[in-house]
Parts: sequence; structure tokens; C-alpha cells
Amino acid sequence: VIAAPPVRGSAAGSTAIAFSAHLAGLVSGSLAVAAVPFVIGTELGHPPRWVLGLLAAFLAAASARLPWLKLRGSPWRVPSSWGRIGRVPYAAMFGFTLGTGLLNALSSPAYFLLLAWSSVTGSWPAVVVVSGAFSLARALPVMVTTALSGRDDGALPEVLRRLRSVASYLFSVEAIALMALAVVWL
Amino acid sequence: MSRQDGAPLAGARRAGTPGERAQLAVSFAILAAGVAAGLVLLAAGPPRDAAVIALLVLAAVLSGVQGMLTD
Repeated sequence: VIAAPPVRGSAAGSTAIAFSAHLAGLVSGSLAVAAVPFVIGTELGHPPRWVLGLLAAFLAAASARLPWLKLRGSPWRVPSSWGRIGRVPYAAMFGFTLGTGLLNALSSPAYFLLLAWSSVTGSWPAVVVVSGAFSLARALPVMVTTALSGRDDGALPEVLRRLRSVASYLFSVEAIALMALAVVWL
Repeated sequence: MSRQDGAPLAGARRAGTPGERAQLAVSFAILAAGVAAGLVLLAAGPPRDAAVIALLVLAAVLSGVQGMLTD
């Protein structure tokens, strides 16, 4: 499981503030990155949809784990020393880097398609919806681990084991979705 | 070079281990399922924009969750 910022505080209100900062960071990071291809597409012209279709097919193959297609993300990780800036700012900064989807570990091949699609669609609200879904999905595991981290009944390791087990099958659903999009666009 | 030299056949090298062949078969089955889903979407006819957005939201959610759980 990817490292997440410690958002849990001594009081429920404090935890809520740190988690909100983390979520705000996630959303703003995601939107900041998605805005770049959106503006490029709007100003310079939208790429043809068949290009998006080809990319979707390639990424579907990578997501389906064809052995000769492996995509790697950035090896950079948020330094733990950044924690010195304070729990809430650290949670926000951590969220921003995770929200970009590019600064640290690659979330999955589908992320590249989301960015490319931002340059093709002319609808900013649609970009906000898709980027928002990405941000909320990234916040979900942090929310679950934060909620369970205060308990000492050993539930957290078991929940994480189950989540990882489920996640190991999600790649196939993602590959199906990407391939379906490729067929529609090609 | 003959089999007696101990070198595997070129074809056997390309095919990989049984585990790799099984993984390849699973990968292609997943991709075929995706093609079928896309064809169903095309057959359903317009409007497709809502379906495309729904698939993108699904991909975004899966991408976000996987990134946090599989690193």
C-alpha cells in the first residue's frame, strides 16, 4: 500500500481538518494537471479521436498485463522530512502530489488516457467530473486506514489485506473499460 | 544444433513457461472482453457521450484506487 500522510489527530475535529486538507490537495493537484492538456487542446486544436482510440488500445494492453508492455511511474516519493511543515500542510502537500498522478508512482495505465482525453474533450465540467472521481478514489484508502488506525483490534491489517486482494483484480476491469473506449473511438 | 546439446528449441523459448502462456491467454481474454463491450456500446447506438463519460469515470476510480493499493 502506498504511503499516505498521517491525517489522524488527537481529536476528531483535528483529523477532519487534516483529511479535508489532504482531499483539497488531491483535487487541486488532479485538476492542475488535467488543465494543462485541456488548455493545449482548446487553444491549439483537439487531436482526432482515433489517436485517443489507439492510445486507449495500447494502454488496455498494458493494463491487461501483456508481458512485453510495462509502464513505470516516477520513482520519486514525498520525503518524510516534509512532515516538519506541520501535519495539516503536509497532508495537503502530500495530497497535491498524489493528485497530480505524475509526480510519484504511476496510479495505473488508465491515468494517461484521462490526461489525453482532457485534450480532446471541449467540456471543462466533464474534466472536473473525471478528475474528481480520480481524486476521491485516491482519498478512499486513506479514509479507510485513518478510520481504522485508532482501533487496536487488529482490523486494519485484515482490511488492508482484503483491499489489496480486491485491487489485484481491478486491473482486468480497467483493461476492459479501456478496450471498450478504444473500440468506440476507433 | 540438436536437442541432445541441451539447448531448448527456439519455439519453446518463444512460447515461455506454462505460467507465462496462461498469463498471456488471460490477457488476451480480457482484451477480447473489452472489444465485445465496445461493440455492444456501438450497437446500442447514440447517444454515446454519457456512456463514454461513465467509462472514463470508472477508469479514473480504478486508476486512483489501484495506485493507492498496489504500489
